[in-house]
Amino acid sequence: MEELFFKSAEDLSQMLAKKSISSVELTKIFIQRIGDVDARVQAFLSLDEEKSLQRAKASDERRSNGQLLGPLDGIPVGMKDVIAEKGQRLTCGSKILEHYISPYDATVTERLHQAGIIPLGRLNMDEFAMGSSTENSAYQKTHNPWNLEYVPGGSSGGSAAAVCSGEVPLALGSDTGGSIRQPAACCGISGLKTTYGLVSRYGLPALASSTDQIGPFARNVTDLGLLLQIIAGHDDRDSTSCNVEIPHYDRILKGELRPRRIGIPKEYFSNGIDVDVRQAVESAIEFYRKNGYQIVDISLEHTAYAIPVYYIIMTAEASSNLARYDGIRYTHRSSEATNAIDIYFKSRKEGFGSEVKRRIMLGTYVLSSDHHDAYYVRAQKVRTRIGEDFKKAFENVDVILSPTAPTTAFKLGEKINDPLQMYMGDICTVAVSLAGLPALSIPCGFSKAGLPIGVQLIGKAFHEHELLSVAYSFEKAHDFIRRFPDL
Amino acid sequence: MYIQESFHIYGRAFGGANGKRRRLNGNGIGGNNRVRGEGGETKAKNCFFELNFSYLFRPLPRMETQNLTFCIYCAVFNENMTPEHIDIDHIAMLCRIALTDEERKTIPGQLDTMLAYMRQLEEVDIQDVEPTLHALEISNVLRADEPGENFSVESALMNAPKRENNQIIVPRIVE
Repeated sequence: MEELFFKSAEDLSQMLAKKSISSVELTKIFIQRIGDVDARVQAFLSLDEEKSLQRAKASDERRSNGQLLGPLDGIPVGMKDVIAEKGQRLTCGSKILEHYISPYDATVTERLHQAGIIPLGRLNMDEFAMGSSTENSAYQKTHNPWNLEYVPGGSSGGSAAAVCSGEVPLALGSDTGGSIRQPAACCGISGLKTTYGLVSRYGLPALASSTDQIGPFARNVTDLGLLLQIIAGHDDRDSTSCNVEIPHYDRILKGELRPRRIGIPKEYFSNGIDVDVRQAVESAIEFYRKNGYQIVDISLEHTAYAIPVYYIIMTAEASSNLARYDGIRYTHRSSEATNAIDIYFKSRKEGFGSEVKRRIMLGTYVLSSDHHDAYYVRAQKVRTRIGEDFKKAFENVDVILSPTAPTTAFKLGEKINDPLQMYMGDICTVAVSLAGLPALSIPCGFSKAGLPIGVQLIGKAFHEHELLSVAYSFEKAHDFIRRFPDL
Repeated sequence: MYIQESFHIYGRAFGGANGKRRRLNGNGIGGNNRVRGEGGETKAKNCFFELNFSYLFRPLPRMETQNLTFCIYCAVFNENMTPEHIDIDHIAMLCRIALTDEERKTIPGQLDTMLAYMRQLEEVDIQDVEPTLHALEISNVLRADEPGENFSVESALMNAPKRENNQIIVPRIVE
């Protein structure tokens, strides 16, 4: 029998409905599971047992009074430590925010509360979401539950590893250049980066403002839709939040009306792709072909430029956004500093890790007056080209399919001293972020070494429902979501 | 020195001054073509290949090597020939970060490498292209200027590193 902690949120919700388990019991089971495995996985930075159990108790009371707040009422969720939760720490994986307590809730956190979902604790991440392995966290290194010597991906590696290892059924993460999709692929679970503007970012400390998005992690596509339903929607407090109609994701998901044309971009299948990844993704394409989807070869001509464009724009925006961590108002302040200017220099020296410093410096350089046009403006123009590629492609297809990452998870320590090499692993995800489009990753196989492989589906802006429905038809015909790591 | 198989090479005109755009065949992920540059003249002396063109070494996503400074303009064979050296102290000053001794040693080379890599954008035709600031078309969002709910002084100051009488304390700034 499937362990309870490996059940999907949908299944757990049904068990709660049948009263075969209470939310308090369920929450205790997950807390127990975290106690059993997290010393090895190290996904959680902190856990608020007391608050979680209080919320679970409140959920059970609502259930017995017939006042349920929605289908996920009483289900625990893990929070990437970059999403504000009033009264909880918000470290962003950085020493500079080590003692920072959120004075308010992010909009998504409010929405979770309104839906009765129980945030269990805070999940590890690369410092300020900069990284693809979660090794840049100032606190701990999270391990891949499938093989503890490997990274879980990043930057939302804690979120992905926690869902993968059965510590929580759902988690929230953020994705700036692949930080939800890539760890989802590395850990063999499902993760969705939403369209830019679909989910409010109020309460999400900014990294790269023009691409940051919050999105869900789950065991399966249905759960992704359930959690998305709760967090999506317009918010006055985020000026980039779009006022669009939110579809009923769960209903559409299993309906028959689904898009039929899938584009395969040749640039995403060139020699840099690992053999096992290529085979798994190609068999996914074969599946769709056999099931009546029209497979269309397309070209996204400027793919090769996505990484340089992304790392210019992202570092430029980050260097500006991270200027607020100054040691004066709410961050770590160096005790060595003797004057006000010194506070900036020394607090930032002590508070930021090397990767953050590297990116702030690169961003400062590309924005500096001598180099602004040569790097930053040029990158913004090539970004336009990348967006046009997608626009053109979507004239002929509904969904684009590619690998989520060129390789499976790599070993801890393998790339940490080679930042550019680490950036290269983002090749399949950054272009989508630059174009602001939605994309998800679902498991589509395992490598010979037993590590999960993800396939990425990219959709038109605000067409998450199409992605979910295409993903669902693959998921239900395969058993990848029913394989669990042995911890 | 060492060119690994995992390096894929393509050429490009040095300096890009002639503005000629050259399509690379199959320039997808780690495009694996060795294309000779056209129309450029080398400024890279001591080039290992002694070619008339400069070459950009572009590593594949799956690269086995670590700590290998690959380089544009053949400079991999001569560390001092990277085209652009970041003035690390100046940049650190601009962004108000003091570096550790270790970072002062490692970061400049890493940044040079990244900038060299980023210069491949020079081969994209961007004539008459508008820059993208936001992925989606979002115009200014305005709201009525009405006072609303706000933080209490206590919650606004709860994270201040040093405070007194509802104020944040900093060292004396004006003598």
